[in-house]
Amino acid sequence: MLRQLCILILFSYATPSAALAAAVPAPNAGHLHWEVDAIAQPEPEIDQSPIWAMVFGRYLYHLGREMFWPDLDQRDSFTIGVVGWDALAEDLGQRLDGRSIAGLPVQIIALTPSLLRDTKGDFTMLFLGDTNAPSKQSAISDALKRWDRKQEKEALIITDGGKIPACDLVFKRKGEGQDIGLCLVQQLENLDEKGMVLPAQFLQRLCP
Amino acid sequence: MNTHMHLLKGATLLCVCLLVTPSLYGQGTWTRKALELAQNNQYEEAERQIQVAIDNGEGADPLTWYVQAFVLKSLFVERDGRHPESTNRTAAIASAFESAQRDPEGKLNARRAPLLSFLADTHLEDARDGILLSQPGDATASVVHFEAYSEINRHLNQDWDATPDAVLLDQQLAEHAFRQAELEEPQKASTWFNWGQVCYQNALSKGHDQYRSEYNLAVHTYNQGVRQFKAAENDLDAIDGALKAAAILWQAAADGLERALEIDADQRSGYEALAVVSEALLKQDKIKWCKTHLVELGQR
Repeated sequence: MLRQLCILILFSYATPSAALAAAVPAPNAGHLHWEVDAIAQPEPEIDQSPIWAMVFGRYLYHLGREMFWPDLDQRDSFTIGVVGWDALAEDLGQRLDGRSIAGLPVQIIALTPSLLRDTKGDFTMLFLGDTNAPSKQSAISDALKRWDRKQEKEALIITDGGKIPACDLVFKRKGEGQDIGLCLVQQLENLDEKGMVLPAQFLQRLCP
Repeated sequence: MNTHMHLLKGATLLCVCLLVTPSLYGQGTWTRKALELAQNNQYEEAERQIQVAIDNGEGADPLTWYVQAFVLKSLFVERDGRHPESTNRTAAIASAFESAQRDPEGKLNARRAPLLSFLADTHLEDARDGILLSQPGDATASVVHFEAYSEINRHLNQDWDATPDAVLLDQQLAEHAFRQAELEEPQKASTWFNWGQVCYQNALSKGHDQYRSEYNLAVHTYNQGVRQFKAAENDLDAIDGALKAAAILWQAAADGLERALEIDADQRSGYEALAVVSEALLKQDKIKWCKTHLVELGQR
C-alpha cells in the first residue's frame, strides 16, 4: 500500500512540466506562403508599344489637320496609305477611327510595296516606310513608279527617312539617347508642283 | 519493515520538498486550472486564471508563461479574429519570450517554437496586407509587422537572415506604388512613381535579389515614360516635349538594365528589355549587341 502511494506520488510529480506541456495543445503552425500569395506581383512586362510609329502617327495626324489640301472638296474621304509599316497604320487607325479631317471621314490603308504597285486609286497622303533600308528602297521606288506611272497622282508622299525622287517630304528620326526627335526635309519642287506648303509648325522643324 | 519505513520517510521528504517549491516543477494549481479552462475554450477565464498563477508565484515556471502565451494566442485568433492591431498577439509573444528566458535548457522548445512561428507568420501576413495600405513615403503598416516577424524569427534562430524577406517586402511595396502610379495617372502618378523608385532603391541597398530589383525598376521607368508620351498629342510642341521628357526616363531605364545585366549576364529578359528601350532611344549599336547576346544565350 505504501509502495503504491509512493509510486503514485512519484508518477504524479516526477515530470509535471512535461506532463502539463503535453496536455497543452500545440498551436497550428500552418505556414503562410508569402511569395505565392495574392499580393505577389508578376514581373512587370515592358511596354512594347511601337514608340516611333506613335511619334510618326502624331506628326502625320497634325500634318493632315493643319495642311492646306488643294482640291480636297473633290474627294469622298481623307485617305492615308501606309506602305511597309503596319504598326504605324494601326496607330493611325486607332487615333483616327471614327474621326474626320477637313470634314472628310478618314480612311487608313495598310499596304505592301506590291499592293501599292497594283493600287489604281489616289491617296491624300501616302507614307512610305522601310525607306532607310537600301535593300527595300528599290522595291518601294519601283512600286511607287508603277502606281504613278501616268504621273497624275496628287497624294502628298512622305518617307520615313529615305530620300526617294518622287517623295515630297521626309520625316527623319534624329539624335540618340536623351536627345531624340523628329525633323523634316521638304522637296520644295515637288511640293510646289502639287500646290502644297508646309504649315508653320512643320517649317520650324526642318532638319539642319 | 525497515524497507517500508525508509520508503515512507523518502515519500514524506519528497512531498515536503514539492510543496515547499511547487513552481520549480510547474505543478502550479492555477496554471493547471488555466489550462483546463483553455482546453474548454474558456480563454478569457483562462487568461484571468493564468494571471492569478503568475501573481501567486507560479511565474518562475516557464510552462506558466507558455500557457499564458497559448491562451493569449487563442484570444488573438478566436476572439480578436486575428485583428492586426490585437494587443493579445503582442502579449502572447512577450509571454513566449518570457517562457524562453526562464527555460535556458529549452525543454519547452518543441511547444514554444510552433506557437511563435505561427504568430510570426500572422505578422508576415499583416505585413503583406499592409502593403495595400501603404502611401507614398509611409509603409508603417507593413514595416511594423515585418519587424515583429523578424524579431520572432531571430529569437527562434540566431542565424536567421531577414534580408530575403525584407527585400521582397520592399519589392512588393514598390510594385504596389507603380501600380498606383498607373491607376492614378496623371494627377498623382509622379508621387507614387517616386515612392516606387525609393522602395526599389531600398531593396537594392540590401544586396539581395538585385537583378530583379534593377530589372523591375528599369521596366517601370521605361513604361512610365511611354505612358507620359502617350498622353501628349495636342500639338507638335507638346509631342516633342513629351518625347524629350520620356527619353530621360528611357535613358534611366537603359542604364538600369545595363546594371542588371552586369549583375547577371545570363538573363534573357534583360537583353530583350534593353533592345526595346534602345529602339526607342535610337541606339542601333545597342540593339545589335542585345540581339547578339540573345542568340548566344539561345545556343547554350
